Amino acid sequence: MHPVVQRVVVAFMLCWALGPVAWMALTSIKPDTLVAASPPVWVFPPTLSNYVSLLASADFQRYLANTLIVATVTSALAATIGFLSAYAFTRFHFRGGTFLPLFYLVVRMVPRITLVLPLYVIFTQLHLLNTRAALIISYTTFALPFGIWMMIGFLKELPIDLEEAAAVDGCNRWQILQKVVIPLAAPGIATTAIFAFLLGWNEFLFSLILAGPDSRTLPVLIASFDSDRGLLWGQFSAAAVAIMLPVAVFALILQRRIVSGLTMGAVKG
Amino acid sequence: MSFATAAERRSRRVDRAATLRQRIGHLIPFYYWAVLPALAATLAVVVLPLMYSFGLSFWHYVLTDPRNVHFDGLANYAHALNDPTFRNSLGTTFVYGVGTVAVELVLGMAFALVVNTLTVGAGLVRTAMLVPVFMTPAVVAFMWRFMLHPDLGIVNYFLALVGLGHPVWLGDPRLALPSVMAVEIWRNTPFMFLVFLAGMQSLPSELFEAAAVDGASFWQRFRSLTLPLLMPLILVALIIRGMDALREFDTIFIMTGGGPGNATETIAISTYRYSFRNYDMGLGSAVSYVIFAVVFLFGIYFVRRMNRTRVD
Repeated sequence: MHPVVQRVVVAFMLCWALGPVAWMALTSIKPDTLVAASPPVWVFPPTLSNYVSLLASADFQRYLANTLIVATVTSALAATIGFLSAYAFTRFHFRGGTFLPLFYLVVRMVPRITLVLPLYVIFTQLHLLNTRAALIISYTTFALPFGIWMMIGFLKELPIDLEEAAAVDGCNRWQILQKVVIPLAAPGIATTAIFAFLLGWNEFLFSLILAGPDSRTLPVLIASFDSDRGLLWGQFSAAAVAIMLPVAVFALILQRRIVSGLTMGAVKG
Repeated sequence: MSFATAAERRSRRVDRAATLRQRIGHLIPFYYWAVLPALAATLAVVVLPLMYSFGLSFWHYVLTDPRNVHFDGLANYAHALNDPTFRNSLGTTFVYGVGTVAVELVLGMAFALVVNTLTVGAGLVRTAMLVPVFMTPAVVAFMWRFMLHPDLGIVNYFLALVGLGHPVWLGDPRLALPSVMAVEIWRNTPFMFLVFLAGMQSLPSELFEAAAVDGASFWQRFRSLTLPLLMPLILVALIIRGMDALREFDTIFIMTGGGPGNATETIAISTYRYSFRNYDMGLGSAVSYVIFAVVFLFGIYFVRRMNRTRVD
């Protein structure tokens, strides 16, 4: 391919991916008076005032705490529960052992908007509306189909000989899991945990509808900024950058496994 | 005859609990315990609510009118299908789903073809393209709303520089749908790109070298080697993106809320409006079942096609 075409396309792709984000990051360090200036100002004395006022705001602190708790617990639960299922599917032959993975594939197809309405009624009756538990239960379940498929793919690749050797050496089932399987499957477990964390961190619809002031997460805070009053853009941009930081870090860590992750293992990345 | 002391009674109870545990342990083997938590969670959070809302869809049930709850047969479905707004939203969902996925497919493939020929810098581009895919969708939507602001947004600033005027992207009924579609395309073309690039990099390079030696042009190699070899992968990408596009909520909700008028109202937004604006749970359930049916049929169709390609 002609090198000029290559360069133009690559430059275009870099602008595509990074341009809007760079513009937002730039806005977040602009002084309030210049945020909505037209024509846009490119050179200005940078300020951290947007970040300072964001971090000082009680709303942001509360929502951040909610988001961290919800995403972390979701991540731990989904990785543990998903691992147990995947382990059973790949190591034992039993009734339902071939049906259940397909069942989870179908579950992955169910739109969340179809579930949020009955869950709203059910959680209201259980007095779980506006609790973090409601979000954690829901997100964990949404993360499971992906996690189970991800780890099935991973566990299939591990040689069973090692586990048999450990059994011959007198390890019981939990020791085999703890000393052989879990260390070897750690990258798969970590990938599942990160994807589940990002699900809890990014999810919007359930947080909007099932959560209240005590349990709402950051995406809902973002959506509540009023974009038609230019003054708040600086604060919004600061909040957006703050929300994106963990996402960017995790995406970098995941890089190598990301494609097989995005396609539930259908493609080896 | 003597009475058992409290300590004896306690230890007996402990013994019995232990035997019971053992018995259940033998009765229910380890692997069933292992799959139980995931299955229980899925039944409780997905299957049960689905059945519940299927039932609800046949009832007249408005939250603000709790005294008047009664079985209504197919009235909710009939109401939805006779509602021009809802019929309109079916069409919008179709345009949104097919339009975004088609553009993402073509652009993603083109990007992957170019980056696949790079000798340096492919890693950098790949990393950069991860950003839109993993960004919080709510942030993406809000960020674009901010950049598409008619007077103060950066997009219109650049357009004005080249003399293209000041379109009101999200306020003009003709521009609103293409605008939200463009944002969806911005966010998900990188997904297609990443999947296709990974696929191309796993294809055997000898095949392409041989074809090049035989004098096949770039286009011929693409048509007769890359495309057929990648077909299963293209189908997987279409299934995943197609299902997500048909049920997309966050982007549209934050950018336009379905407006102006109902120019960007997809079925997902309709469901929200019926259930959480009008609190009509029966009608909302019925409409949400329509999305479920659409997504499900779409998924099944492509999974079957995929199995056929694999057999070939």
